[in-house]
Amino acid sequence: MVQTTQAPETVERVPQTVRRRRRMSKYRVRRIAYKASMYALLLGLTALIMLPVGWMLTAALKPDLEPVFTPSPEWYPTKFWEWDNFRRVLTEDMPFLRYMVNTMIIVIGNILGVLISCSLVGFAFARLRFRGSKVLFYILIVTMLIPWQALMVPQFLFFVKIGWYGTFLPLIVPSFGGTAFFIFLIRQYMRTIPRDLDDAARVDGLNTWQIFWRIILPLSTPVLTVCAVFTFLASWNNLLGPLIYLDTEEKFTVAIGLANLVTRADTPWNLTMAANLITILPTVILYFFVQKRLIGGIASVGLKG
Amino acid sequence: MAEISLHGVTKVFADGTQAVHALDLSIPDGELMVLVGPSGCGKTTVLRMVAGLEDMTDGEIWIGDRVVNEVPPGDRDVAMVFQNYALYPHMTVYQNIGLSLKIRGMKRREVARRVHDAAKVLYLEELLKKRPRELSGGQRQRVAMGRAIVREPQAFLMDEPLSNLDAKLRVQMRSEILRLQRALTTTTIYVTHDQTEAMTLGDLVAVMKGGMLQQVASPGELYTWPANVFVGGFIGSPAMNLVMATVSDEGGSMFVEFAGHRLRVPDEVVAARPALAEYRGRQLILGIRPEAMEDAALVSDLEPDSHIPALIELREGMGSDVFLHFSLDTPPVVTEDTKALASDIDEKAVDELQEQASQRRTTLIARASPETTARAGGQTEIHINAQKLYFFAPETGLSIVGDRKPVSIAADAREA
Repeated sequence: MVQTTQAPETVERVPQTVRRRRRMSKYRVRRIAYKASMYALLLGLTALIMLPVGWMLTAALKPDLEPVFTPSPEWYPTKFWEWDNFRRVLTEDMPFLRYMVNTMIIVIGNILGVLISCSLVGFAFARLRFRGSKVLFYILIVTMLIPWQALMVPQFLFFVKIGWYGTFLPLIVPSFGGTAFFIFLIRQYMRTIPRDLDDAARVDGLNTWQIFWRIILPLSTPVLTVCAVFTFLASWNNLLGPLIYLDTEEKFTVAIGLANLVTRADTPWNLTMAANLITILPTVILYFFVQKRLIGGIASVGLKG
Repeated sequence: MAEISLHGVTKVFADGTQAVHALDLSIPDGELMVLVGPSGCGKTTVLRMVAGLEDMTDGEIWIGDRVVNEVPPGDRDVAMVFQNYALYPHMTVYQNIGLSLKIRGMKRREVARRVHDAAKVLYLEELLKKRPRELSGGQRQRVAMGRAIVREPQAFLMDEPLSNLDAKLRVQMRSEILRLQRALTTTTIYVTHDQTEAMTLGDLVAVMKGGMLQQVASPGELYTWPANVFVGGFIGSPAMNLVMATVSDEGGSMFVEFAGHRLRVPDEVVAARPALAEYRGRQLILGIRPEAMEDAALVSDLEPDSHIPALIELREGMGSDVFLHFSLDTPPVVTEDTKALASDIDEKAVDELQEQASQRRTTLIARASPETTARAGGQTEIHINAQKLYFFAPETGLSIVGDRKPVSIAADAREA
């Protein structure tokens, strides 16, 4: 009896410690394996995305007479280093520097317009009580369903009539009228800010405008960032709008510039690729800077890219 | 600093619920008035109306020598502390405290001086550069206080400022608030649902129920002379025991009988309550505070008709006291007031009250000395100090007192 009760105890005590150590190392191996596979996967995906960009760079660095579309694609530059192509695109053969400045003017104008108008309207819908606010909000939501193409012709005729054809104004001013989708986003976000803050601010002596400017707006930076970045992308990439309203080359945007580079015959592919790379750059830089805020913003707004 | 007074203040919400009924209340200059009552009794609504955050349906609010009905919150010269503090998350502690001064166009140097002064009083100097999310609950609470005191307003309005803190911190901050209020002598309205807080803080305590004022009195008076069953049951912990009793007269002495037991009511108790004489031979609600009871074995010179036998069901040792739970074979007092008291505990307590009523059984709690040898399951004699009995009219729930008139306010409110 005594033996049977004691024996298992002594037998078990030794392997238990060994097993514990083994289990620890097993966890560690598993963790390392998991991390390694994650990195491998991410590196693979990155390579997949970077391949075309690498090919673009290869193409952009080729001299004019070198074939761009080789039977087996060259994924990264090895033989040719014609950096001069970039200079030619920016200033000489094509005035891409000019185009970029033009586009930037439109982009910044649009971002300002969207932020000012949408944040004000969103604030009103989210925090102020006024008669008919619900009905107005529903009407606003309904306007999201109207395709831009339907408005294109009347808008064009209108802007021609008031003499804005050929200027940046038709591409900037409408954004100051608010965008239904962004107003919706901002309203939803502002609704999540506790009402007690408004009450505290009122007791502190702030009026409605001060509550908007000093309390609600600073707390809404995540959603405002999302709106600003979306606006940047939309107006940076906008081709149709500038194509309709701009008629002189010194007013052209990058989107028009890129479109003009590609012709039916004799497209200068090396220059086109150089221009493309230049066009991507601001977006990449922007993303680099607002990355953290943008992801946080998208997460908090409950929006998926 | 100023007196605050409310005249016939009424609030009816858009959906038709009447939150506050014709409330008359005045808070003397420099005093701390606690508004206490179960949730939904309208106390926070009253506070918000004084702050100007809620419109009144009817009535007048005076702060100092002006009617503030139409004055926006920022111009009422009152500061408010919110339950969840409502600190501005994007601002530092310094900015949070200083915002109201900055908005009023005060010079930067003056703002800095006053913020630092306030921070010093509240031990916040080290934290001025931090943001609210980096602070603990107690620190946030102090920042909220700082935001209030920095303005040197005519009145503080505090809406359950301690309810988000854990128990220990709450006690500490409670004395902190009391210290500050005494030092600054700023008229204060303090809203809470916690009667301990009300009793320890208030110069005056106003008890509310269902949008109506029940009684305004000092903590001591509320405890000894509750205006009605509701106030009696609400103030004090554990709550006052209530049983239906019959009053009888025998040999010149008055007795109360309940559940087959008899207690002699001392002559001086009867003398202090002239109206009690009218209840001879009739039923009334008898209130016995747990602290008026004791293990009879520990009472010297025990008089006849001053103790009742009890089968102890539960013994809770608190260290300083022992709570003895026992039952009487009589239905519990079921009135609108006792239901309101039960629902303040939780929904289950209301069901329990109904269940006890159907079983004709009432649970009582006695607060005995720690020396008691009473055990759960054992039979014990419980002594009741008849000097500390409470009597309420069964029809109205009002205290039976006679010439004393703390009941008048409640009676008026009921008529309205």
